[in-house]
Amino acid sequence: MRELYLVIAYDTPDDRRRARLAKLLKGFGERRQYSVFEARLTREQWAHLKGKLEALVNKEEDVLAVYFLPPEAVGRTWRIGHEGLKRLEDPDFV
Amino acid sequence: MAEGGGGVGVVYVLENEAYLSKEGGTLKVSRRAGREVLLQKPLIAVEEIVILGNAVVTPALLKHCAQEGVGIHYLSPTGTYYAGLTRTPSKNAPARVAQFKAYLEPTWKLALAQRFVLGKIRNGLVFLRRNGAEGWERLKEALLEAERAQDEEALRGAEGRAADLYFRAFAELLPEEFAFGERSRRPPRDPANSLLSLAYTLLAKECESALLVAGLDPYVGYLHEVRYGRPSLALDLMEEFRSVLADSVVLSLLNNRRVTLEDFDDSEGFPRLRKEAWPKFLRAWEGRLNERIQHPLLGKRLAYREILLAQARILVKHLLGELPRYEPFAVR
Repeated sequence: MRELYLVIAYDTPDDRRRARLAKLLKGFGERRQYSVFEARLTREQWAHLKGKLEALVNKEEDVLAVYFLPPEAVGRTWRIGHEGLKRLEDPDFV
Repeated sequence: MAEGGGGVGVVYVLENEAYLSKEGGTLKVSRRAGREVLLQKPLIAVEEIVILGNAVVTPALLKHCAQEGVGIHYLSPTGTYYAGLTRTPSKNAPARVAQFKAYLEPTWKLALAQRFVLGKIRNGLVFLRRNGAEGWERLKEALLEAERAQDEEALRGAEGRAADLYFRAFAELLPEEFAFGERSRRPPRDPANSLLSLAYTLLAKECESALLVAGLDPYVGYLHEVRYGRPSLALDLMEEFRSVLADSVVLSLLNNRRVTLEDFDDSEGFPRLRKEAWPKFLRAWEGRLNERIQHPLLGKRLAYREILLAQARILVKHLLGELPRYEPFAVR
């Protein structure tokens, strides 16, 4: 099963929509900046997220982009201040 | 449990006063008093929640888990399973009808019980041999005895003798301070037995979810008698995996001195793994389940957790008449 690696960036003048977008995206990936998320998803999960984004975003007022990173670009990503995306299927202990 | 490839997201909650809730699409684990967030994780990646303390689960999270088939399992500090939310029986009703039919037919029931015993003894024998245990050859005799068994009594006799020989040889592999005379349970009387019991509880839980995913009823088994509240088919299926999964994790934790006598607490009159040592144990357990190995029958490399599901599916195929007999998973 190939995974998709994506970066999602958005902006909206509407406070409520901004909060709802953040809440939605927290369910799929990790927050990098106020309006930037990173996610590693299966195709089905991406289809699911895409449907929700389409329903939520206002095409007149908002901007949103999803950048798909090829595997070699993921490997070359240079980071400061945070670690790479956690593998979601790894077990957690709290 | 995931269909097809990919891992399974398991969250183990060891914090005693944890509060588990659904926030948007995430699972949030916080300390009950105060608002300290211990973990926030996308729910799409959570397939099992294992709780070892008195965590509170909110109704919204419970509803999500029930709808999406996410398992919630409460274990006591000694590792006994006492409550849980498992998925409802799957749509594969023909599998369950066949399962009950086999249960009601004495010769079929015996043949299945025998397959599980043979799988257990054979894998136990290989495990002992590979670890250089003395006396592994003596299990060959018990294996022959189980193969020739004509009734349940003879089969159980062979199984009992094999188990006795097996644990005597297994105890010899442990560091001196952990060696034990015999397998004991309810309660386990020494630290090594206590770890074995924990591992068997976790293994039984894995087998139970594999059977449910495959469409079978974990409570109607062939080797283990049907009793109220006893997942006897899960206990049947785990037989062939006891040595390769549970015993091997215990052996390596003790022999590598990753778990030592200081990790046990004797205050209840029997040894219990201290709460602080649980993560070490669970990490080793999860590591083993995610290890990939060639499946002899399917010819594919699979994680052990997927092999459990594959075996449940092989059992379904046999019950539906697509395979002449159930083939237990055989380690090399």
